[in-house]
Amino acid sequence: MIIQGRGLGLRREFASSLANGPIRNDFDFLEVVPDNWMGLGGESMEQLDAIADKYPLVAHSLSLSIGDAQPLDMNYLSAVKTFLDNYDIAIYSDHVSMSRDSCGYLYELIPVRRTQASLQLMVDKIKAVQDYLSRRIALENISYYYDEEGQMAESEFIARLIDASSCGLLLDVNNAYVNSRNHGFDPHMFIDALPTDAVTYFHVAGHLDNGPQERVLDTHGTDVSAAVLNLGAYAVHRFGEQPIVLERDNNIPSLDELCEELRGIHEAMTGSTGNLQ
Amino acid sequence: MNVRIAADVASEAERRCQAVRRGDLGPYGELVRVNAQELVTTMFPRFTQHRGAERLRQDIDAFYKCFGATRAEFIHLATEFVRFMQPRLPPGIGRPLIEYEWMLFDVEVDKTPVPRPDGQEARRPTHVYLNPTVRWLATPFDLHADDQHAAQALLNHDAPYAYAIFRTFDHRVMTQRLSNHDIAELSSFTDGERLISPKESAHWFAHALAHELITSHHE
Repeated sequence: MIIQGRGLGLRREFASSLANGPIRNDFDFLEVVPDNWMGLGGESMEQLDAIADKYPLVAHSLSLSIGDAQPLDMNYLSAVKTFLDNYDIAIYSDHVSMSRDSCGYLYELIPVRRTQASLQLMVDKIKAVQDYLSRRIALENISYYYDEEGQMAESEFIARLIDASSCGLLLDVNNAYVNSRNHGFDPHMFIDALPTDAVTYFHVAGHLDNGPQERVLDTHGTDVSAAVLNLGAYAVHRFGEQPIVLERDNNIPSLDELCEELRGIHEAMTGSTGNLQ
Repeated sequence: MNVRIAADVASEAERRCQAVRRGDLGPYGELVRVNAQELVTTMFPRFTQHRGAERLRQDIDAFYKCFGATRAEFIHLATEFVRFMQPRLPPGIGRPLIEYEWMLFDVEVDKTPVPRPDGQEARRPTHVYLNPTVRWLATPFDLHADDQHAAQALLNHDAPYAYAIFRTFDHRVMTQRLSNHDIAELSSFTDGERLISPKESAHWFAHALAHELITSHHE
């Protein structure tokens, strides 16, 4: 199934209306977080089954923890594979981050120290995951709030990761912008350093900006800013027109309002209003 | 699917995660705690109210410092938190409350489908089954009592209260207090099912079917 155009992050708040209502044509696909659905029965499963019958899905997980220094969690990976196969999902992504130590899970996307040694471990793990899932995976650049001296630049780390593992990139335009503000670099240069054929799809989202003296927070709780849209247009110019997903996890407006924002985002980034009417 | 993990990579990853557990690594130590407290508060509202915000904050802090959560998905942080708290809660109403509220979640997401209830024609069933999602719970106080009455029931060593917790066909999670009569009828089920002879009164069965504690279909 070819995924293109405009996507929305599937929220539980919308699950009932999407499952039970008529097919909408103001988005092209939905991005589902497997962690929030897999292994669950009852109403959750019933709704997701109905939604999957109506809309193409991509999957974006949170707990692959590909950057940790532990063996792969095969229980989790097996559940993800079952989920992807059950819903015929071709595009699967997670994050360039870690969520686990030798003690257990921390339930957060923690930045990985960007060294050659950690890069090699991640490459080995990505290849193992891709073999197991029989899919090319994509990894997202995270927003990070902690950094140290003596590391590779994030763009170099990601570019080398993609090159060595053949994984794709889920380019989160908002994260690139937020990181550029918090860590003082030019986000255009970050984008320029990434391989032109790397991007599987784009994420856009809103952030909280309390001024130049404060840390910018990747909240997914506001409309997407003009600065992020401009950066998104720059990214589309470099990487070509790829699917765009709007993430909204806080202060969630109505589905109609979100779809209208998504239409505007797609137009601002690509210059077109989308694939559908 | 083994990958070779270099010692320096392992120690660096461990250092960062341990910092988060201590409450450091920039804002991450606080971020994980805020997110966990929000989830626990949402999923266990009665327990949270009983425990109080400050003690819950300390519990979450200890959870990160002392506990190894094995389930990857964020939603199962709640399950891991219950595992962490169970041996630590002192005798009282806290432990039954958090176990009850976790049970509500567990029933809600149980993968077993609940059969569609019959209409009027099932009032005289001949073969019935327990609701496949049912869990049993005995507590030393009435779950619907406030904290003061619950604590008093504990002091008085009141007889335990028995409950059935189950999901209906249309996904409502029910908490049904069981009478002695209910318990007697339910104890006559074998492996979750029971035949009803034509000579028996069908009154209790019709009532239990109407509430979906039992079903006349097997799936």
